[in-house]
Amino acid sequence: MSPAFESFLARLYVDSDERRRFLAAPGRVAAAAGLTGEEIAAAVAIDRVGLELAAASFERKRHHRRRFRFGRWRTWISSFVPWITRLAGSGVLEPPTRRQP
Amino acid sequence: MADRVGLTWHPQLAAAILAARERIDIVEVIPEGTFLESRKSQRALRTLARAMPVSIHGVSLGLASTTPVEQWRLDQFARLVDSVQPASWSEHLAFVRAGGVELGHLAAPPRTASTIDATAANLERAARTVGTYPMVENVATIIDPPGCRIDEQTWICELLSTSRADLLLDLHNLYANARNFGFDAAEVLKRIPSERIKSIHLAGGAPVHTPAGERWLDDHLHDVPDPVYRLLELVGQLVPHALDVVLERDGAFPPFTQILMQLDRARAALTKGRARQRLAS
Repeated sequence: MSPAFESFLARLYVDSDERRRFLAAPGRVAAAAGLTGEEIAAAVAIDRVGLELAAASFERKRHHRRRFRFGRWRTWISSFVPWITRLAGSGVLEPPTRRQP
Repeated sequence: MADRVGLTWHPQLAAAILAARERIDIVEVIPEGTFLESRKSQRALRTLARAMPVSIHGVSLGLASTTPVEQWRLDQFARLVDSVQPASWSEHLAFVRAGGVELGHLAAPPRTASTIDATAANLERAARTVGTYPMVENVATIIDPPGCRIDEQTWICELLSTSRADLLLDLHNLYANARNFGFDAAEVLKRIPSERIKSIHLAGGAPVHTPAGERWLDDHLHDVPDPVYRLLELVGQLVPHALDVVLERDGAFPPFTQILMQLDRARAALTKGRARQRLAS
């Protein structure tokens, strides 16, 4: 199996539009992806139930990861809050006052 | 023979793990997202590794791919392993990206001679960069990977004969695949060269119902099912050396006492298997 076949599978697993196009016309879409004859045959014979389940499972994992990333970002930002508060109290963050002529 | 039984490290479980250290022999850490990227976290992990055996378990290298694993990813692992000096490190027999598409999780590769060769080449690259071979873990799959020419056990055995990397055998993944694709997990286990099995994973899962039938999802959110303990017993009987056994739990955490009970049950299953091994010899 070639890197092109792996890329094709990856697109099927994550891209719902690509998956829909493929399931409507498996042979044509696989051929258009530049796969070999053997790879096209393998794609046409794909485990369709498994494909939908796997795609849903990958989507859940990516969603979980995005939430986790956002959570870390929020934690990182919130770690600065005490510093910002302290600086604000010290007057460092006050806007500069215009010097009187 | 001193088997070690432990679990996966999670921030939510950290305090409980440290408080129950006398009942936990090893912790496994997934480095992505924290320990690979942050030096501060690496220092914390180094401190933990001095207190108890730590194993590093990667999920992002994508070693079972026809595309060579990127060098910068291996360099990251090399720095982490050098810094933490873990008891072992491991990765999955999966691809996780291809053609610029990130799957976000582990996909079972098409089982062919070419994916065996490509995986073995990636394992060589990993060993050259990190200094030691990773243990490689069999993955669960809910889709029968398209393009397979050989069955899972043959693919794993061929890979083990091609590479010097040893096996981290995930018994729940084996159980899930056996349920999903209709083979006998115990028979497969008997065919894997037992001297190459160095570590074991336990986990739980749940059925996913579809109009076409049921599949079993390895979700790490449920308790270890009974048949997986029976497979562990068989492992204890077959494998001649000491093993590290790690319980993977990624969420829906039960009370920690329930997790500790599962570790005790794993120890008991191993002990039973070891007793059979002694009787047989």
